Amino acid sequence: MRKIFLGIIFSILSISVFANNLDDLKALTTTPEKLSGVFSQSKYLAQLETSINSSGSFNYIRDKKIVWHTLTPINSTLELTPKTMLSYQDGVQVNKLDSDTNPVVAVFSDIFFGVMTAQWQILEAYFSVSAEVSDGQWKATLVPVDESIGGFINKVTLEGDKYLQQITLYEAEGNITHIKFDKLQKK
Amino acid sequence: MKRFLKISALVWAIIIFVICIFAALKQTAVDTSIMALLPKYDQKPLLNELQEQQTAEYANHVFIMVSADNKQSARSAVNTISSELNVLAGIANLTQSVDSSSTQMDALYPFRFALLSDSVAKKLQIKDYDGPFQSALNALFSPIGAGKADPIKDPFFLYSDMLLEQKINIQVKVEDTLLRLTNVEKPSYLLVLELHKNPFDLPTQDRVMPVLKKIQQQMDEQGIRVSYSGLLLHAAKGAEQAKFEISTIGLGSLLGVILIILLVFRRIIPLFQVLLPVMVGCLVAVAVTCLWFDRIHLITIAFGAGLVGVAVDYSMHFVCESYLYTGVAVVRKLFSGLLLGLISSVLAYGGLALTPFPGLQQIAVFSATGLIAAWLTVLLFLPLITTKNASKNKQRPLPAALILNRCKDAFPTLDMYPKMASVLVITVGFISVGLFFLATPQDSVRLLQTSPPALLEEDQRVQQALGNSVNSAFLVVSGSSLEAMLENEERFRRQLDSLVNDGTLADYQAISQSLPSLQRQQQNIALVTQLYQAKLDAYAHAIGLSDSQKTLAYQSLQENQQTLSPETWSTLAISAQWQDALEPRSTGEYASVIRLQGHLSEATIRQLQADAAADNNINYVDQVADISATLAQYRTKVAEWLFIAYGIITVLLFFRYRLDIWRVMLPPITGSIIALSCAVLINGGYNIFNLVALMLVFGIGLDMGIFLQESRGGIHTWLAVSLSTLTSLLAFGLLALSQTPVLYHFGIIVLPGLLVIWLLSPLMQTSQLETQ
Repeated sequence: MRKIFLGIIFSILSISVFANNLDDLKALTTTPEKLSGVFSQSKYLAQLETSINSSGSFNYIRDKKIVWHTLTPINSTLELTPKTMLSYQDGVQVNKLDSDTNPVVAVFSDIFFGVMTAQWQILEAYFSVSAEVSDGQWKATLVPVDESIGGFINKVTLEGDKYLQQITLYEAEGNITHIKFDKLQKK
Repeated sequence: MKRFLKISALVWAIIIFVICIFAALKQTAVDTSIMALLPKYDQKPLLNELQEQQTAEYANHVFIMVSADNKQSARSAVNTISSELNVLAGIANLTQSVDSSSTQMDALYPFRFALLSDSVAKKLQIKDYDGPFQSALNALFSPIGAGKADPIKDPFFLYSDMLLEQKINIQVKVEDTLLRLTNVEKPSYLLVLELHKNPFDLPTQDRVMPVLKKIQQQMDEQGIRVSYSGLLLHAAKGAEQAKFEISTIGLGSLLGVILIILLVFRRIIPLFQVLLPVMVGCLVAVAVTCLWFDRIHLITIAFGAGLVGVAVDYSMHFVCESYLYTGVAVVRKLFSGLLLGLISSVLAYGGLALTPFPGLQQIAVFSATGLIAAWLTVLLFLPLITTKNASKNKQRPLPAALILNRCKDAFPTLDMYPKMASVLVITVGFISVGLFFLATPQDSVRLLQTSPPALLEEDQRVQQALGNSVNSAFLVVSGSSLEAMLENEERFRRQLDSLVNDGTLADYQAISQSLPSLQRQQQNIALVTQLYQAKLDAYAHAIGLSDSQKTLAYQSLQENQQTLSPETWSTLAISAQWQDALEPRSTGEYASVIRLQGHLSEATIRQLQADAAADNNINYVDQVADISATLAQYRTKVAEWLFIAYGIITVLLFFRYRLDIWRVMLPPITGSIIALSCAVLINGGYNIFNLVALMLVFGIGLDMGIFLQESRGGIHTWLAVSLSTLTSLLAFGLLALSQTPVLYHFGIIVLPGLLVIWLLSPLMQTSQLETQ
């Protein structure tokens, strides 16, 4: 179920909005055909009371594919399509999951690709979304309403200006993942 | 003579009464399930048990799919529908929502080292420790939450790996407590209705169907599509269709028969005189069949009533002759013909009882007792109630008889042209043999399908949305104990896995995927221990674990070595579809079903069958193929018996008619062949129901020949023969218009068959005798 959250994170990338409530957010949402950039990620592991850091690049093609390429400290790639989830280690495919047979992947691709095409009503099925705007900066808070997600995640916060800049994911187990984006490019 | 007749009639009336009383007291159930007609002797009892269980799983459920353009309206429709379905409480249970499975899944966490995912276990078995190590690092650095993957208690993410491999067979996810179908474009939700009784139960149908129909109509007005899938829908449709056809085709043919009899006799009484023996025949047949068998099948009644319809011949001859002679004289005149007719018919139908098929045995008992009862009624009752026919008409032939005879006399007879006759006999012989070997038999289970295409399409739409594979085949694993069964399954799964890997098989589901054998679980724990020894140091280094944290990780492995017992497993939601496997079957063995997914090609089926045949503990079962095979066996048996019956009756009649036997035998044979050719031409092949219809054609045709021969061209014989042909055509030939395949295939033979026999019969008459 953990892999669901990647979808949420990515989906937010496509949003560049200034809105003080969800309706405005919905109205302002645009989905670029393609987007790419770099990220740096810090994951706090509650059991170890320590953080592990990584960085890399990402890109997506709307409705088709998302590639998340971690470059340091290990070289690994995660590739998502509406039906499958593939992971590569040093360019070699190590795992493949199919949404037809796997309920986890099914929920995940539903949320993920729903948001990519700005279908907020699908996100709303899983979260209650609240947004606040001040001085050209916005922050949205997503709290799960669906218990199938609630078991894994407590809260997601999204922050940005013109583009989404930061994601923080609070997991039920106490782990916190913080991702910052940079060099975002529509292309 | 008259006194003897009266006493006999009284005795016969008492017998009928007693039989009916006994049958009524027994209260035999009427069965409409096709499965009830299939023989069970050829399968292992264990397989039967599992097959019935599989069938019941589908039979007692109605799947309801609710689709709308947007989610809100679909969800509110689901709520409306489920509150409307609440009125069915007491006859059906409704499932519309479920608890999230995630919380139940956590119950498996303590067993994470015993329940490895297949992919990890396979890597560890070949000592590939680097694979699991690398993917653990992958997961740790991925932007996705680490979830249950605790770097100390489960540093190699074995638990999440195992969870990800848990598959479900229906494409449903829980969305805010409702069951959302994931394989459909429009927002669609699933509701499941579980019937308390079997779907053929008429009160259940009467209660559930109106509710379902109302919901569908009401939702349709709101632009919401409600689709159903389940045997109940087909059973109800079948019953409805039968009612409709009885009221149209049945009523039509009944009116036709009444009209014809009124036209010919110009009085109403002969109608009752003609129909009384048929009714008594049917009544006694139903009664005896009820007494003889546990359950009486609807198809038996349908076919059997048709065969008893042959009895119309007996009464028709009697009533026609009664216009010329008094009752006792008619008995004397007709006795030999009636007796020969009865013996040949009872032989033909009764012989079916010798076959090992319960369905055919029932039809045989029904037809034979029905015929005998009708025959006795003709001989014992009719003389007493037809006394006024002759006196009123002053022994003048009926006008219709005179017209018909004039037409018949215009026909040339074959024995004026002996050469042509012999050519005809030889040609017919060759065609008959050729046809049976060249025509393609059709044994598809679709023959038994009574549902209209629209209903089947709706059913298929729901099943497809559910992701249920179309194949009816599955594998059965057995073992002397639960552990042995699980070990047998795990051994066989290696073969299945290789079929899945090379793409031969889409996928499968087996109990040992979620409940591995004890042996396998212990192996897994040993493998994980080896993984820790090989890679924990490198892992600790990569993410900076301290020495004490490393020790804690080892400790956690030591402390969590418990195996998952069947008892614990059976309390989890994932065990729901395998619960039956935990208890021994009636044979004392343990058995479970391996469900096969995706389309199975011919090559895959052969491969699976071969693999299963090579393993004593595995059986390949295909219900649809089994039904088809059974139909094929029935077909062969009926065909064989048809030939045997023709043979026996030819010998029997030879003693009476000597070389004139061709005059009796040729019309039914020719009629049968032409009818069969028609069916083959129209439908591209023939089937069991065509052959059973051929027996009816044979019976009626033979009676026709015998009476014409016995009466030596009596003025009323041709009238009686024509009338009984016409009434049979109306009663059974009209079935060719039926939408129900079984009845259609019956009608398509009777219609041309009887017509041809009727047209041919006058050609076979002796020219000298007729001129007498």
